Amino acid sequence: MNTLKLLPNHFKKIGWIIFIPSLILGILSLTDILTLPEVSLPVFYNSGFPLSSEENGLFENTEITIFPNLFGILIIIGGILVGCSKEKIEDEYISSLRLKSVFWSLIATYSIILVLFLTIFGSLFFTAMILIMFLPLVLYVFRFNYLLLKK
Amino acid sequence: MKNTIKIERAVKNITQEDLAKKIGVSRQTINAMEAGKYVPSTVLALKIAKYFDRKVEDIFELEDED
Repeated sequence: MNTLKLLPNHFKKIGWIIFIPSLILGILSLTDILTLPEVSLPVFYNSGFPLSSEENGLFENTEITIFPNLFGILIIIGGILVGCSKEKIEDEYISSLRLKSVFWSLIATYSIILVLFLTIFGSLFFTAMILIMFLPLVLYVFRFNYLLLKK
Repeated sequence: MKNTIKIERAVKNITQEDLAKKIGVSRQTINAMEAGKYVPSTVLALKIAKYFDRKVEDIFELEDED
């Protein structure tokens, strides 16, 4: 039976270990509960305002809030590992569940984005869009595992 | 599509888990098929029929809405 090309099953456990803590810390870093230091680092590209400023451009040193960036990276890595690892027995029904959950998360994400386009304006909109970037992956991971566990 | 997997399983007296192992699919797949939530591929249908030593038509049957 043809199934999708996926990572071996043991990557899923590693994925959960990375995904859940970074998701929780990522959400906490949005609130005032965690106060995180800013670190000055050379970055590949720094863009900011005003655009003519000397501090913008390639390979500039800049103050980065390193932890939210790190959490973001780890959420993506963990999410990919969880979402793209085989189940112990990966068969055609599991593949159909994957398809269903990807489709579900796509529709859910764009429904939310549509509502945000209609309701939120100003800089909060951009903050919301940054968070929305993670939504398709996060929703897929949770939806798929929910369908898998559901009787 | 209706199927008689549950009945055949009762006749052979094996659990969903055992049937899944014999055929090489997950337990969820057997469960979903018995509940009528999933229509298996031709390959899987043939495997199930072969395991129960029956024809595919004996186990799987079209319904009016199909």
